[in-house]
Amino acid sequence: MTLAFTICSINYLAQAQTLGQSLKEQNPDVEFVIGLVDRLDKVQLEADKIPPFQMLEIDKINIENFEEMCLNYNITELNTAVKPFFFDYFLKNRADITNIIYFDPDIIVYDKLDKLQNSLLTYEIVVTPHISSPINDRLDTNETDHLNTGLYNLGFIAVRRGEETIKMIDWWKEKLKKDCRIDLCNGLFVDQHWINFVPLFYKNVLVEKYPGYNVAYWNLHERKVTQENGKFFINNVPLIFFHFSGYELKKPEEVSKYQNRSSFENRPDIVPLFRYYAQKLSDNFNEYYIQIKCFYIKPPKIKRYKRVRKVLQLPFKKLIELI
Amino acid sequence: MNSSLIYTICSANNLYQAFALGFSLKKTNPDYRFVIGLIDKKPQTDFEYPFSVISIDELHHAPFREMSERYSIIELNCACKPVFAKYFLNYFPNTELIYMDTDIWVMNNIDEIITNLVEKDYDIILTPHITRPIGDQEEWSEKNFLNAGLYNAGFFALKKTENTIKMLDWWENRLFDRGYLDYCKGMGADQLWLNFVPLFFEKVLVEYNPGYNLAYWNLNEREISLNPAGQYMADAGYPVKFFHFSGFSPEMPNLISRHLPKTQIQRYPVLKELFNEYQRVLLENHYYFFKGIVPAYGIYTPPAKPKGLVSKLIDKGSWKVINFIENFEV
Repeated sequence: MTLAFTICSINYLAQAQTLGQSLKEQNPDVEFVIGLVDRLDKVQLEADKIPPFQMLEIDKINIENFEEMCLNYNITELNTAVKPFFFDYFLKNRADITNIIYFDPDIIVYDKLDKLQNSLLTYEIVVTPHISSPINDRLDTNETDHLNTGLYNLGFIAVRRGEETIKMIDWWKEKLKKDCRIDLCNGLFVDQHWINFVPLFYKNVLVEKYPGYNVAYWNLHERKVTQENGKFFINNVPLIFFHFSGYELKKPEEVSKYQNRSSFENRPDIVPLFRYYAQKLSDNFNEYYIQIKCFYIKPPKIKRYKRVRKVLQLPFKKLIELI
Repeated sequence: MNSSLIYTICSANNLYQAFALGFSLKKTNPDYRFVIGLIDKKPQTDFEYPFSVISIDELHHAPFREMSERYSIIELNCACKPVFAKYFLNYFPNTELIYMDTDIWVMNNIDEIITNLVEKDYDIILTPHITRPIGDQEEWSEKNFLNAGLYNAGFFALKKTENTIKMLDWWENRLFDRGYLDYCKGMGADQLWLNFVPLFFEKVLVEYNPGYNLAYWNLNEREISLNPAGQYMADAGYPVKFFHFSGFSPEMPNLISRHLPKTQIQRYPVLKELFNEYQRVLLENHYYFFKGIVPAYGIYTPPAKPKGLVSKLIDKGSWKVINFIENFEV
């Protein structure tokens, strides 16, 4: 049996349900779970807004250091840090499940996952690189961004139950207890940068370059979308899943808030995908969910008297310079 | 002579290491051509150069002047690796090329590298810094390699093919103005770029043989021993082919590397003799003559004087106060 899951807080339930619906349509035999970094008992969701999918709240999977993680991490860091803990939970509590696939909530699955299931017969772990060919302009995002944040995109990772998988998940969990931060100068970028090591540390890892996987703004320079009989193709092979990373319904004319290379003007081939996505998000009550605050995230501390602090620090900074 | 060329790159102040590398090759792999690419003017000496040296001046590489004004000496040296690689593949008859950092010491026959290129048909060979997780007790951590790069750029091997030339063109282009050591901006000289090589190019071999490129960063994951024949072995069964004395100084022979100020050679007693020998060879190769030379190209920063105890205490104390003021909750 195969289980696919995503992770989000209540504010992203429109995305998660869009993913769930697309997955069910093409792969009815794959079980789908929404890992929820939030508390359903702390909000009163309107009756028609309760997702018809399995939801597994984070407090139900007993993460050892969870309270500490909540204190130290922001919403992005926290939502990514719990990923290996969900894998671990499914591996330990769902003996009937062999393959586990993680998708970011802002992904749509367009086709059967047969190719992936086949890969998992041979390999234990499948990851997708952000890019598999050079970027020759100087726009964002560029090669140096991927060097800073990770070669593989962690909006997707698939594993088969096995020795290497268990070793990898255990190692990843250990790393993310404290080092799931965004701190580029110290080599850290959430859960993702760590995965650079996976093909080096573990056996049976497939780095999947198939262009129909994890298509997103970062690899549009090497991927062309076409349509035939209502089906999407990427570089002439079937599109399996598209990742709408950084797309926001409040700015529907922007491909992604993280980049400046592609627009709907210079990339008319991607327009139908995004138009459909925008429709799905609003059908799935994006506006309703997006305003609900995550239970686990504390409001950021506001530092006061910044100027006074600076003046007081100045003599000591000068002293350090002098010696 | 076989059809393979081994080259290294340095400024004049590291020529003593380049010579040591050359002599180690002469002893273990005498039929390889060895050339030193010098990112500098060739200094006048009262002894003969034991190996052929080609100065960057002889390459007439037009972008070099700009690079020299932009980069520190280490960045500049690193950025010239693909420049020399293309030069050798163009103007020398050799079809296989091995690059080694000057502080590498070859200890065994390396024909296997050429076999992998010629018979197994790989175009590019790289070695990973580490091949398994690093424990918490160590002085360095996996994080360091997320910044610095998965593969060590102190060694790579190439075969002349269209695919390889594409890789060298790409690398050279990136290193023209994105070869800084600036981790915050996703740059780690020439090395961090190598992360992309197995993704962008074909026929890349990531070589896991534990006998390759031993250095302070992977000593803890490899079992080193001496066999009865006096040969160094890694993980029983793999002869050590080459050792990378990264960060070693003959003036501090008890430190494995200046990057690990707390790790003494005593931790690896089996290596003591190897380090002694390497220290001796460096001194024999005019260490004191070369180390004082100020390189002609690249931005030179004189080595910082070590701080005295009093300065260290003031420094530490001041930072404590600054952080206290910063984090004081009102």
